[in-house]
Amino acid sequence: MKIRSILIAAAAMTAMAGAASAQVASDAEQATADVKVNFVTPLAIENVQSSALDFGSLIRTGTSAATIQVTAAGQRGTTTGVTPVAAVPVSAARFAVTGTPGESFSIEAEVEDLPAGLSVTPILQNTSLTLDQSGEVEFPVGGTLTVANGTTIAGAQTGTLYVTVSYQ
Amino acid sequence: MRRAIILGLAGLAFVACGAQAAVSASGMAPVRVNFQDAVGIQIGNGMTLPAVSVAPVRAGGVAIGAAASSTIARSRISAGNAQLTIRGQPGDVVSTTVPESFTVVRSGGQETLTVKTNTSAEYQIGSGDAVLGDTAMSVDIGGSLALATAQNLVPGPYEGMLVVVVQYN
Repeated sequence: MKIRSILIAAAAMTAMAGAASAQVASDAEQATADVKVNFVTPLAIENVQSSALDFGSLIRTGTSAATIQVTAAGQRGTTTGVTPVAAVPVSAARFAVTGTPGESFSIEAEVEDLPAGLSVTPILQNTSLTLDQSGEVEFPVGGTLTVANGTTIAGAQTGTLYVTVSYQ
Repeated sequence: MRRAIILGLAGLAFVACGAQAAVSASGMAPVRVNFQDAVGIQIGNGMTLPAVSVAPVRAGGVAIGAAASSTIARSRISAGNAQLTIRGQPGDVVSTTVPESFTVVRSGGQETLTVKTNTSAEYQIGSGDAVLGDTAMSVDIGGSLALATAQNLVPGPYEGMLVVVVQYN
């Protein structure tokens, strides 16, 4: 029994020595690299107070092409081919974004679901923004509405403005 | 050791891919525009008064003219009200003003006659605002002519301008 224990201990020492030998041999290949990871709060976006990109009321005579602009500041911009009704206000849509403070994000916008002959090119003051210390920031979206030549259209028309924000 | 580094890179790549799905968010807002018809007044018909021939009346061998009450009126052309169409949006409030009378002048002369106007009360013309129930409202304006006495009645065509003012409130 005792002899067996001694043999086992000797075998273990041999194995340890072997492992130490292998460790010494691998030191020449060792390299290090920093591993970094940045955990961010997922971005969230919401329409502020159900705001709309509203081009107001327009008087159009004939079927010639027309353009109507609402600036990102929510003001009536360049208008051709139609006569805006001054008494009816216009507005830009407004969105609030929350996420990790100090992080920047890009903004993309597009308008869909408009009737044939109408198209809207969104107007952004900035295509990227940085979240403030509270992790919040708001931005408006204006647009240029184009009425294609030959389009016969009347009454109230609607579409949908889609905005996507992404961490940069 | 190389194998461990490769596994480490794969792990980082996995973390990056996992984060990518959460770095975007989308929102939406309505887009609105309202196209209105042009507002304004369209003249359908002008006011046409009937042609009147005045038959002379002999009294004591002297031909005299006749006052309006004793004339023989014959319509050689169709008479008709002035008809206007006021265009706007449903619900628009308009105020229409029609003069109580207007003057017509003989063509090639300076003689004048006065035409008194009359309109239907339903349009509240001159007395207040009217609300357009549809996109257009038709207004008829009639007139009556008080012929002058024979001394002042000079035959010939008379023309004048009936000015109607429509204010969109």
